[in-house]
Amino acid sequence: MAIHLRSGAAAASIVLAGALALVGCTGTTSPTPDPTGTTEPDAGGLPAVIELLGVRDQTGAVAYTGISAAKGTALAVKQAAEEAFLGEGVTVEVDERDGAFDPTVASTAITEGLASGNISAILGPQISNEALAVAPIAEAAQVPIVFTQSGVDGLLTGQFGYRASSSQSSVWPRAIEKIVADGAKTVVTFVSANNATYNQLGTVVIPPLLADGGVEIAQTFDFESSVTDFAAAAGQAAAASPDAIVVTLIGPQMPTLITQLRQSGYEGPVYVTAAMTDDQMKSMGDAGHDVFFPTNFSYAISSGLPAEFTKAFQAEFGENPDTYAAETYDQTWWVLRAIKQANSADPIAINDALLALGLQGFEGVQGKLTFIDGRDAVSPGVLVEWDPVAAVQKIAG
Amino acid sequence: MIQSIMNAAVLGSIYLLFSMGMSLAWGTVGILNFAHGAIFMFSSFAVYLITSMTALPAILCVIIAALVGAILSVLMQTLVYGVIRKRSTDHHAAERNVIIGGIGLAAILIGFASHATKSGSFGFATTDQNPVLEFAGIRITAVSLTIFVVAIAISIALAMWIRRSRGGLALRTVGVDAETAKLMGINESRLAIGTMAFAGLLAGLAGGLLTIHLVAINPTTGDGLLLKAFAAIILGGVGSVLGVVIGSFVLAFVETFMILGGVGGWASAVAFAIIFLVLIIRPRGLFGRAEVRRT
Repeated sequence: MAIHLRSGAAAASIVLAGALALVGCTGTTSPTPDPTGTTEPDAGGLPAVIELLGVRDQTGAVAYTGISAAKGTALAVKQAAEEAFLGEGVTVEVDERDGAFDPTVASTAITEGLASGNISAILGPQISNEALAVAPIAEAAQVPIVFTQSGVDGLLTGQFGYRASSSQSSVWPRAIEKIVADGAKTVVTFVSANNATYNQLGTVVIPPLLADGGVEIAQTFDFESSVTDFAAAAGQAAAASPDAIVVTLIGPQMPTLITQLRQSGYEGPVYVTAAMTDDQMKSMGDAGHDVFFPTNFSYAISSGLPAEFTKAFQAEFGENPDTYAAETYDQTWWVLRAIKQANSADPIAINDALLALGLQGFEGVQGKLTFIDGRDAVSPGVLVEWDPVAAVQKIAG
Repeated sequence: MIQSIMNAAVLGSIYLLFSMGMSLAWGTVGILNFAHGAIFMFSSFAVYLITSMTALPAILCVIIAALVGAILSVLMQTLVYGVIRKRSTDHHAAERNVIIGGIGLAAILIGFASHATKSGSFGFATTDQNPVLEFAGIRITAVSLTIFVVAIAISIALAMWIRRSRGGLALRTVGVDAETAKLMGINESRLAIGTMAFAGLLAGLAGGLLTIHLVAINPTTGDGLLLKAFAAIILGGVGSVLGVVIGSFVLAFVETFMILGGVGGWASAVAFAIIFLVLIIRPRGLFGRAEVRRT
């Protein structure tokens, strides 16, 4: 899929885009240009066509994540085009390729995509295993690669790797705060055994946060990603009568687990990862009460950039955006700003600009983003509750 | 403990329902159907498409899924496996080509469902609930109980049919020696279609029941179960009804108690290690000697 950024003719757009560049340099960039700005962009160093490579899962077990991701990118590119963000006559093409939930396929996609020699930056995979496989390829080619999701440790060890989505560990304190505030003393945890990101979250990140809040983990169950039935563990967890249950399994597993927890008699709060889609939430029906998840974005946020993004996304695609789309929207804008700041399509110049922008931080639809070492996003996060009656997300009270 | 045993028994019944048809087709008419998991999934997917338009009673969802499974399986046998077997040069080539054909068919069905659902989960819109039954401190949903009862009932009925009916005798004869069976007047191709129809019916039945039990499945759920089915069938002995029953329950109990013991991440490794050991000691599986195909 090629997405073209076509410049508008209006001089006002150039003025607006210039303002955005100026704000970007100060670390408070908004995706919507500041109408008060006056700086005109210098597109002299930019070629007529700037090529980006996107590798996300369009097929495979979690294709819905990649499809949403591509939409987030498409919206960012379209808005930038409408605003002539990179200047008149400058076109951005995104070559979207399928990672297919397979590190080998993702690696091949990156290798083939880079073969043209014209790629300025890569919008990297969301799956940790794919990300780990492709990172060295981008590093060797000296082309910056900006990931979303892919929360696994050790990913950003090179000079060209970045992560535009805040990790689960940065938003989980919002959930722990509520668990503690509700007076919970014991929890039972359900942890993915072989998903690197969720295993790390459930075994390394959350336990110390709970311990700091004085909450004891009464029991932990770990599951392989292929497990489909949780009745036995759900029954045992319910029998332990914990004050809360914490789940870090993959998205498709969680509706079944939560339903089986309710069937086993557990009616307390369940804290899950943001990996569940609205459709998966809906499948729980009445069992979806008291289900909370900390996230870096929710369409339920009713003000500021997230609300503007939600409105634009709904207008463009006729649906609510999810976290995957929000993350790639910020990711793509980060890259576009870096291109603008570098005033060049050269990957090394863009890499320098990405790092500079990362060190400053910026306001995105994930909230105020700061970056560890200028590379790894951290956002404040928000706690969301699923409303099973209206079948929508709402901000937890 | 009793609750955990009951839950493990339900899990074993899930594996059993899924594995039974596959074992039957493999151990008798010699079709190792790699698309069995895809039939399971696609049967549910078909019901999902229907219930997206109008909610149906759960029992009707299960019946439709079973029928879709049977039809899909017959189509596969008639249009693909039967043709492959006829055109293959020898028995080994036929078996190999059927496996490849099955993988291809599975990829098509999974691809179609994945495209339609963006690889997301899907479930049924039913007009009735899945109530939780409670007796003697044991909690079990109506669908879980149904899965257990149906799996056991079908296993007993199938075992008796294979042992005592003329059709069952014909099936066993084909399983032992297809050429001799043909000389004895047994219409192998008709028997193969009937067996595949029954195997597909069971796959669809499992798909319908499991989708309600699990709330939702996704296009690749059948793949995971396919691996479990292989394990159960090999452990019990290919073609043996009792074998697949034992294999399914051993697998389920090992997995369940590994998970309850807090080492669920090792469940598959330990389950398959047990199977590995059984295969070294008894290459035909626990109950494969008497009923396993010998050609």
